[in-house]
Amino acid sequence: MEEELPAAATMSMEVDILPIAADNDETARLADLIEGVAGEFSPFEDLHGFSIDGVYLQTSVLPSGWRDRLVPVTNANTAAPGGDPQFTGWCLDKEDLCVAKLCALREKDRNFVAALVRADLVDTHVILGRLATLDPDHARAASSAHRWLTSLHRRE
Amino acid sequence: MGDRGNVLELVMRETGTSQSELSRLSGVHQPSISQFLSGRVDLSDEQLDRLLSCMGRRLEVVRSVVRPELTRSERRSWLLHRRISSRLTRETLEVLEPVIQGNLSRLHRGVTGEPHERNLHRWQVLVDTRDLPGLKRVSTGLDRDSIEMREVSPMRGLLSEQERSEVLAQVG
Repeated sequence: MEEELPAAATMSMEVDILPIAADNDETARLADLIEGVAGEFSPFEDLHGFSIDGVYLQTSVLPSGWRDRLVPVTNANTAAPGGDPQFTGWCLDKEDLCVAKLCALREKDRNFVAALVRADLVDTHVILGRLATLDPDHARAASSAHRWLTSLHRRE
Repeated sequence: MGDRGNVLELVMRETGTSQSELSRLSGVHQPSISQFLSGRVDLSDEQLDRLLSCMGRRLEVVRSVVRPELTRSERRSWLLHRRISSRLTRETLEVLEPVIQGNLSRLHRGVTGEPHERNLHRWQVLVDTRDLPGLKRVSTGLDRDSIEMREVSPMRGLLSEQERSEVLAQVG
């Protein structure tokens, strides 16, 4: 899908990685470790031209069931320098990603989702359905996201 | 929707004012009101006060000092840029400019979409004009605009690994 992304889909030179660990404390420890090795201004960034941001579960608002919809990515790009083994990266499902973006609803998030909707790469109705599954603590963000997406959908 | 959009929506609901009615009262086009509410267009304090006045309300902005809510990543980036800002002078900027320009060139090739491309252009202007106060402002600012500017920062390669480690140790 990376090759299909429209130019208007916002992209910085940073990749968010959520370490999958047994508890939040361990996730935080690993996220800090990732940041130290490959974060902003690291030698890794100097070498590869992008940085890796270790994030926590609380960083994004995600819909119920997101873990069951993770998409495995295994290819030459996920391999160790010698080509073996090929590691597996688990990516957010595209509609779950849109839910997280819409709950933040910053300009870059709106542009990203709008570009994907216009390119017909995501299903608006699926996103709306998943917004309804958010924890009640995020009801206000879900309501704003729902209104914005409905308004976008009407204009498309 | 931004905070101002939320305030507008709240008062419209409280006073039972529809978008078309508010448009007739204020002279602001209804599609603009819709965009303010949906968060597609930012609303200024002045515009919000004008719209609230039409519904019998005024906007009061209270000045207070607060600790901003930053994600850990945003705080890390702020600390790193603050360290860089402390060493930026007219003289050091002249020496460091080739590195910063190189970073800008790489970012121009890899960054897409708004507001990143716009913010990258703003960095380019700040560096080209050697606008030291402007560079320090976006490096140390805690407003959303400065936080987003730092997401496409050209300041990499200016801290030693030891300095970077010292800064990261402050985050925890």
